[in-house]
Amino acid sequence: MSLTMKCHKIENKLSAYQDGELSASEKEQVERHLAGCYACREQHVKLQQTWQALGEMTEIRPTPGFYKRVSQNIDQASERGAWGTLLGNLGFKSLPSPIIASVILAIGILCGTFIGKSLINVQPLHPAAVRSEEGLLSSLRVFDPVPPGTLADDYERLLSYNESHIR
Amino acid sequence: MDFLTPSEELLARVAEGDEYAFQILVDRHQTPVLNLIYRFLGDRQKSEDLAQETFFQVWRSAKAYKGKSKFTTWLYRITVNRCLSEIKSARRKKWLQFFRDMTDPKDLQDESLLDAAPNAEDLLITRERSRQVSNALQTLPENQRIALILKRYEDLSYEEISSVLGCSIPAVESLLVRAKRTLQKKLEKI
Ligand SMILES: [Zn+2]
Repeated sequence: MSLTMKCHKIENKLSAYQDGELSASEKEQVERHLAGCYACREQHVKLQQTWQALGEMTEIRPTPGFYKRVSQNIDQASERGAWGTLLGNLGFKSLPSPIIASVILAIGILCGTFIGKSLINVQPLHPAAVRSEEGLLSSLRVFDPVPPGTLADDYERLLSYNESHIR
Repeated sequence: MDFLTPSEELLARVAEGDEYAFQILVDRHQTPVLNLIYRFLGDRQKSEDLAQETFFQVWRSAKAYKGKSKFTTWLYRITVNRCLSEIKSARRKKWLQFFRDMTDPKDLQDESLLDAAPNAEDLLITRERSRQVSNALQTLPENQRIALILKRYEDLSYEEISSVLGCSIPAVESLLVRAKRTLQKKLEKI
């Protein structure tokens, strides 16, 4: 095997060599080659430097109360219970809750109207009932003059004052 | 049950609804999970949210753990799946983000750089280098990135990585060869 051919093969093994994932015989083969090949040795050093550089990404810490928030999420989920799971499975999870509430309300109104109509048979008003309602209206005597000195009297006078001045 | 109890045993108790066991489990693994996500996404705030969702998933899936793999392998599989689904939904929202960036350009900056004290020059350099490494990681394809993060920062074996990713050991080896090659080129300039 030519040296470059060998180098190519070794180069592909350097990563696993670095990670300690080679068998004993493979490891020995790589080490023997590295001892005699400057190019592959240089490549191995570069790989080590890259590995080192990756360590410069800083580790972050969870913010205080991490567990508390996880357990709150769990409590909320169990409160939402079956409805939450159902809506979530139906893909409502990504919708804001006011939209969900409106949709549920609209469906509720429609269902209510339908059920109400089918349960209660709406009859036209009996003529006697109409007559008795007329009686009720006339008994209120809405067009009678208001007693003088009351708030209603003042209001009426104010209205007529405005009207006379506009004209 | 204490802080020496193996995670696998704690998870069995979690499956029965033991909240104390769950708390020990979260305390023990929150930092590696958070950092795995942070290194994968490069976004601090989002990482915290996803780490919380990951542990929420652990609580819900505890009963499904059959003990065939190590607890950490199982946990990292959940974490990685959460990361991948986040990336998927982020791609869907990308056009929305495009408009948001146009109206609010400060979103484009890394907030970890914004909260640095102006006189803490060393800290700033450290953060800048950290950001450069993070940016280099972000250029890797997802599978290469996960394999590399699990090897470099969590020191998982190829066998464990293959179990997390659901691929063969030679496939892991090949992912790492390619990931390291790309990173070498990117980080040489730092
Ligand atoms: Zn060579």
